[in-house]
Amino acid sequence: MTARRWRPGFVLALVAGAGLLALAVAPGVFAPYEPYRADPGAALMGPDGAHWFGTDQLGRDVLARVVHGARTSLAMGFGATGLALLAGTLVGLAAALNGGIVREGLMRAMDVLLSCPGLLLALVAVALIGPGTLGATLAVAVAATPEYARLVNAQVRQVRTSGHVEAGVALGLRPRALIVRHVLPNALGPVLVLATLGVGTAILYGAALSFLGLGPNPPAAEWGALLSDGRDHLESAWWVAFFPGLAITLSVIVVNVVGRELRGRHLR
Amino acid sequence: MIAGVVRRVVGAIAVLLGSGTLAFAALRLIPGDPAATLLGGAPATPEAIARLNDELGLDRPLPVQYATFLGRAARGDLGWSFQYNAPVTEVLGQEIGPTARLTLTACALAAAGATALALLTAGRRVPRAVSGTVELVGSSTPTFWLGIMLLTLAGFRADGIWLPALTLAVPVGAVLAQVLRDGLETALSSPFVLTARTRGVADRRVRRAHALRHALIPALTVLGWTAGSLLAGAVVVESVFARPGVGRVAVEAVMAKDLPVVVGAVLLASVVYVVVNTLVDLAQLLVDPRLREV
Repeated sequence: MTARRWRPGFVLALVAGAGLLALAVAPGVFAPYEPYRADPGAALMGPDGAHWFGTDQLGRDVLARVVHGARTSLAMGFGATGLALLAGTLVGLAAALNGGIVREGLMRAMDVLLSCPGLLLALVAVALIGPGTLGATLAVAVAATPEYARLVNAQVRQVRTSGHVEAGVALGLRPRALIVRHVLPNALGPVLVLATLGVGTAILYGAALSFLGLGPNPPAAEWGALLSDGRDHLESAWWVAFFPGLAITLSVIVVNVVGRELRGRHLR
Repeated sequence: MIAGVVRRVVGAIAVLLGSGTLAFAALRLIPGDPAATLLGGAPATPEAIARLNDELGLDRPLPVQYATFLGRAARGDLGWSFQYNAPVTEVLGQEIGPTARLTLTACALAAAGATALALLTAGRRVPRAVSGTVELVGSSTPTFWLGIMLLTLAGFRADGIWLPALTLAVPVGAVLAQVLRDGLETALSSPFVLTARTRGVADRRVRRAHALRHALIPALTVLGWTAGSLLAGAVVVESVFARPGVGRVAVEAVMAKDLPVVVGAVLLASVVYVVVNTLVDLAQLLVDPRLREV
């Protein structure tokens, strides 16, 4: 491998990503105020020295709410991707290992799901599961699963015919050991790299569902919901909607930069 | 050639049949008594339940229900909306016009913007880096945020179609620009471009008249994806700008638990998506003879 170049954009994204994760893990350390404490006397005040991001209609500090929102928003994005990866791996593996009619059935079903634009699939799923933080996360996971199932299926089929797996068969390894120790680790590498990019989409979809009122219930601090809150006060207080949206955009940019770099390094 | 066309059309029909099956499954997956749940907030009067049972044939065997559902869907009958107390087809039919206008305008804006950006930046180091950043930001920005901010900047005068269409076009255009520029750069480095240049053709003309055509082929492959993104984006953009349309009706139906409308709207989007993808496949068959043999 040639020397890795640490591009400034990639390093910046890693630093910003670490910062966002820190916000999600310990919001209390960074938030200047309590996210849920209302102060009607200080409602809808513009950004200034005391409230960097201004205050909302109840006088709550927008910066504190954005900082506290990181946990739910990022958890929805990463959680949905993780669930989709798990479900996609199970389906893809079952399809690749069984072959024949099972594979055809499973993969055609995935094709059908892929024939529906992701966000719309999530919309149907949330209608069936019911709204809320968990419902929206599951819905986004449902929308992302078919893509991973397809990838895992293709990867497993490819890895299965490679020399070292055939050697394992020749050595008489039990099928389960063969799959868990030799097939999956090799098949999942590229899938994990592409899943980094999937996290960005998942954060966007999760925030979109929240924005539409199908995610976390108020007064929860979650970026999509905060943005939706701020919509009613746009004419007098743009900052209530602006900063949560900025947070979503920055997170998705960070995830996309990291994902693209990983894809460039590890996949051709 | 004919075999290829038949294969793709049959494949598309199979996928649509699958979507119908999924829609049927979704409508039957609702926990609890389907009739009562489907009525949602509407009063569950005996007549309403009786009509629903007749409508869905809930007392008949499952395979019969399934066949009936598919048969009706194929004829454009998508069931009954309890929220509007009207056929789903009628509810959605009124909304197709605004959504089509929005998505087609956005599509034109995205295509024009992406083409201009790609033509201006392909193969030029600094403009390329700048536009790469713009595209990254554009494709990472949530449409609902972009829409709200544009609305604020425009002083809340959003009665026209341009602001919503621009909002919808930005993320799609950002991706299209990347694909087009990659295609242009591949074309610009190929021998036929060198030949054109040695004949003394000016750079602008080389880009516009020679290389662009070749860049359109990879762009064609993402046309299906474009259609899907625009339809999904319309859900959000219509809500932001309070525009009538299929997307807004679908979101309202999710809130009101009016599942037949949700499923109908998504089924409609799937049909458009599959048809566009199939047409793209067929167009590529025409453009690229090598695909015909497979």
